[in-house]
Amino acid sequence: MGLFFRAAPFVLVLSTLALTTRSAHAYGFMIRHGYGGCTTCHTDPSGGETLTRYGRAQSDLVLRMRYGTATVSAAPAPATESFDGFDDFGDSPKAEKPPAPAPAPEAEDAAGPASSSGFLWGAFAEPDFMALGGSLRSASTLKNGDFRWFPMQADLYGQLAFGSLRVGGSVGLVKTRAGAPHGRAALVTRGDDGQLNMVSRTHWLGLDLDSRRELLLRAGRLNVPFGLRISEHVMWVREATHTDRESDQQHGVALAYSGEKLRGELMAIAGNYQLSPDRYRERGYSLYLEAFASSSLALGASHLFTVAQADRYSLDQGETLRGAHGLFTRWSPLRPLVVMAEANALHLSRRDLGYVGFVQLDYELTQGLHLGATGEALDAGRVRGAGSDQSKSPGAGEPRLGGWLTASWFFLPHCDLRVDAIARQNEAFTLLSQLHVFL
Amino acid sequence: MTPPLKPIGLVIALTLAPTVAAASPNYPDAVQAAAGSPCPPPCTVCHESSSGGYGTAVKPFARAMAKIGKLDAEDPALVAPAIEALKAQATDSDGDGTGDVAEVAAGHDPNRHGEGDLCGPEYGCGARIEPGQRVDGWALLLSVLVALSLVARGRRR
Repeated sequence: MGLFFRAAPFVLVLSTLALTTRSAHAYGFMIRHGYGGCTTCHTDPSGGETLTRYGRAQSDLVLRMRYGTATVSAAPAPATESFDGFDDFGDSPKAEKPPAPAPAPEAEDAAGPASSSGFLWGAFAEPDFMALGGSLRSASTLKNGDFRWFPMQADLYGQLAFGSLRVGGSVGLVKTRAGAPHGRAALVTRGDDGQLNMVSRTHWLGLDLDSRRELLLRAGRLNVPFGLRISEHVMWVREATHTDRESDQQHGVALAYSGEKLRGELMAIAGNYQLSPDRYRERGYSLYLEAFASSSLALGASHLFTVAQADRYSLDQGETLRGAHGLFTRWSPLRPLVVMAEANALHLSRRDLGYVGFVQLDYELTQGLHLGATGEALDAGRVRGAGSDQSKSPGAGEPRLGGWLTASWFFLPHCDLRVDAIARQNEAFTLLSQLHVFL
Repeated sequence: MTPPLKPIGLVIALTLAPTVAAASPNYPDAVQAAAGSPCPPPCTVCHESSSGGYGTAVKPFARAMAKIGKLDAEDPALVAPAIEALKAQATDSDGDGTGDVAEVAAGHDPNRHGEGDLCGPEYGCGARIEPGQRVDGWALLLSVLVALSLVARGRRR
């Protein structure tokens, strides 16, 4: 019978992989726990997707609702006399990251992470050189009285590490359609419109350049290092800069630095080789740098510049220079509250200058239950040139505003529910709900 | 203390249950069908950006269609008559000597003087996943709920 219960997660995985799909988690609000950097919890130095063992343990201990068992997240933060760096482990010795705590059996009643925090709820123990994960996300929208459901994401991802050499990536399934703004750029297979296709959002080879693993050189298809790495790929700040983790990745070479009080990544962009012809591929560079002013305040700057021979979004056939330059911050003035903000100037060939920005408040009502409010603004700039409409409109020469109200409930190990009420200028009110399971 | 499984189950059910709506025909598909373009045109043939949205369909082609046809964002069936009317009037929004509908049918952008690419890049590497058996959504939903309940029950033991 025990084997049957252990097999249940596999049933879930196999069932849902039969589905179609789109992207995943990276919670900038973890700064409330002193986790400003990403490498302690994620294998990607800039955050997202594959979790380390330590990240899995923290997910179980401080992210999900524990129903009264050793709830630690909403408790008042201990007073800290000093700031040790990006990943402040509270009582841990200074400058020493604690070893990844092995998930303890029957830990539910103790203070440690539950055995279910492991991959596939602990059903499969990865060897030390391996980190595996996956995301299954189902979404439904209510818009203009029209209720729709769609599978948003069905990805498996992971990393193998052999000494200083690393290999990482993701594969998944997706159904997308011609003209859709999302999903297509990560396709591996090329099926008909609406047919099931394989996606690979990231795949890379990496080399740790120092013994402390602070410098990582990677080559392959990578998340573009720019701004706040948030999970909401449709937020204007990610859409307008084309830097989401849904399908905006690019092929190239990146060098990441994950220091104690400073982190950043610089990527030389060679273009997205999962689309053709070549004239639509953007080449250039992107970077961000984030510094910690204290254990609860991070400030960063981003810069992106690319050139293509045609614009794959507007389909304009001419040299297309695209740039985004901005600032971002994460701040936790009180432990339950995190403020995240980003503002970028935008420039694009044949358009006036524009801007995009957002401010997001995340309030942890109790451990595992978050309420959020987001305000966003976008003006992508008025289109210039012959044959174009010269008038201004919201979002193109005039500011366009939007607002989100969010409730997130991390209700079980590896499971969360999220509901967003989204009101945007010139767009119908949308109620978006998501059920997310990570493996 | 164990998780409140009943409320959780109820919320999941409410999240997943109304899975009735498949994607309805939309404007790009309607334009492709009516004009005979080689691909569903991108949202930007009418809208300012690929995000779309009310009030952002300000491209000359969109304005010409809206002027001739009584368009409703929720009713793609109105696209075909509007395309027919554009064709009958030989509307040429970009003034390049080729009518809008003829340009769309040839895969060219009716908003851009000259040919302009309407279909854009191709995505993926050319291989295909062999179409398989259609997934039964209700069976899938049931299997997910059963798996979740088994996991929760297993953990309680």
